[in-house]
Amino acid sequence: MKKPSAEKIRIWVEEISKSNRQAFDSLFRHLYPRLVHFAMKYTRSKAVASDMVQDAFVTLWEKRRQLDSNLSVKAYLYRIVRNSSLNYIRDHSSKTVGLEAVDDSKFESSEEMNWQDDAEEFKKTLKDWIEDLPDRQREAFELSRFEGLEHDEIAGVMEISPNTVNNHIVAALNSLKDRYSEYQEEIKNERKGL
Amino acid sequence: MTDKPKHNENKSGRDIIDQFPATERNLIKEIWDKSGRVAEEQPEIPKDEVEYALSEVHKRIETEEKSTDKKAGISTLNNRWRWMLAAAVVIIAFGASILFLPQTVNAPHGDMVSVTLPDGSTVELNSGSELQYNRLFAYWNRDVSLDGEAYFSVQDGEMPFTVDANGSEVTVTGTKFNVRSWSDDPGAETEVTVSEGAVEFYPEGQSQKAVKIFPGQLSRWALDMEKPTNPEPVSIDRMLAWREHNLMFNNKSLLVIFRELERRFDVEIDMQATGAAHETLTTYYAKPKNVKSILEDICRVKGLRFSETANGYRVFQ
Repeated sequence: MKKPSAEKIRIWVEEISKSNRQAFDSLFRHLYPRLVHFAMKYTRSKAVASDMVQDAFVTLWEKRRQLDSNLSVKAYLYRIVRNSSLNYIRDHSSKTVGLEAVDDSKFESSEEMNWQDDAEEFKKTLKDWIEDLPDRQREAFELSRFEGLEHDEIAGVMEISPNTVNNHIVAALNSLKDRYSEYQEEIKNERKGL
Repeated sequence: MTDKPKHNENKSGRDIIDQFPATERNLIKEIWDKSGRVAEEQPEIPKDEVEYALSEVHKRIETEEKSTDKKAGISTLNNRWRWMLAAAVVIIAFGASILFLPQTVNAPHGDMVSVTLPDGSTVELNSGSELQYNRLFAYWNRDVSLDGEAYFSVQDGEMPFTVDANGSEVTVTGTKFNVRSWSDDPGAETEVTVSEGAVEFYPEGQSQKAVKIFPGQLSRWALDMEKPTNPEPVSIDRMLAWREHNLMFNNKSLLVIFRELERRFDVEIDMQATGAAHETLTTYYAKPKNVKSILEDICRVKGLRFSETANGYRVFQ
């Protein structure tokens, strides 16, 4: 399946607001997996995450008549899911849940890294760097890069101004840039040493 | 996953990259593009799992709609009713969504609670009251529902602030007012008193029956009434007596009074003098220390007697 265009999503939302179930199903199939992964970042439980996302879609259907196809349905759903996730973390704070990676294929320490310009390896490194970012910066950055949301959508999800979203992302890029420069430097030295 | 977001070329990307010095832009662009591909690392959710989840959602929607359809009587209505229907659906959809995503604040018996809502409005809850609001409060609407008694200080805002209390609605934009609406009072009567600004008060979904209540006025509506009473002047201090832990009963039946005492003092009052249950009383107690002295007083006036029980009192002829 090709990624549906923004226009396609807009049409789906318009159809959903007229109670078209097929459009609802298409939107569900398209966004459900992404939203579950998104919720899992907070809740670290697939069962809890799936429930939350299903709740969000039930709410979406109930509110379909109020939907405005010019507003982002993605931002709407991400916002519901994020709020439920934050509530879940708050209510279950005895456990150590937080904005952390679910994927525990953590990259091992830099000492034993095989400094090849291997795209796969670099991806993991980059992922680690992103995980090291301060929470809010990281949330904004991931919503932008991983979830593909526009700044005003992220602003809606995180309940902050688009300007703050921009600042978070710029700050995130700045620290990633510093680490990337260091990393490239190390590779150079490594190669010289060889 | 089958559908990856491709967002290397989106507008935000260019805007962001343009904010960096020209010398850094290539580097930033590289990080931007590469971090977009990190997301592809996410494990896939199998198709049948997605389909199963979708079927669960269908089930839930159908259960919801059965109850919603009953209420709204959705059928082929002409355009004139479309708006009314839309309004009803909005209210019912809100009601239904509360089932799934309500935030609930309870003031336990014997205690009072003050809440600050996400929009900065504050609500003081009398003992035994329950306030609920949607998790999207201040995003899609500013709707709360109340069973009990509460004093609202509403922040100014573009979205109307609506209190849904046992079949009645109070709508404002920024003001201070008191709502008393106990679902177990006769007719689930709702009483609204305004101390600042003004509010619109009407049976749920029937804003054409609204009365406007101004400071120092009170209006009442019960389920069996056509529309709310015309606002009448009232002593605000008396009506808001509960906030200072005083007790004020304005022409209330003994049943209603005893329920209030139960909540306020966290006791059980067993009313066995059924003949007197609907006799009314207007009375005021400043900072009452205990329920016993109040009962003594009421029983003397009404010619009743009372005795202590394990967890409260029994009132009899």
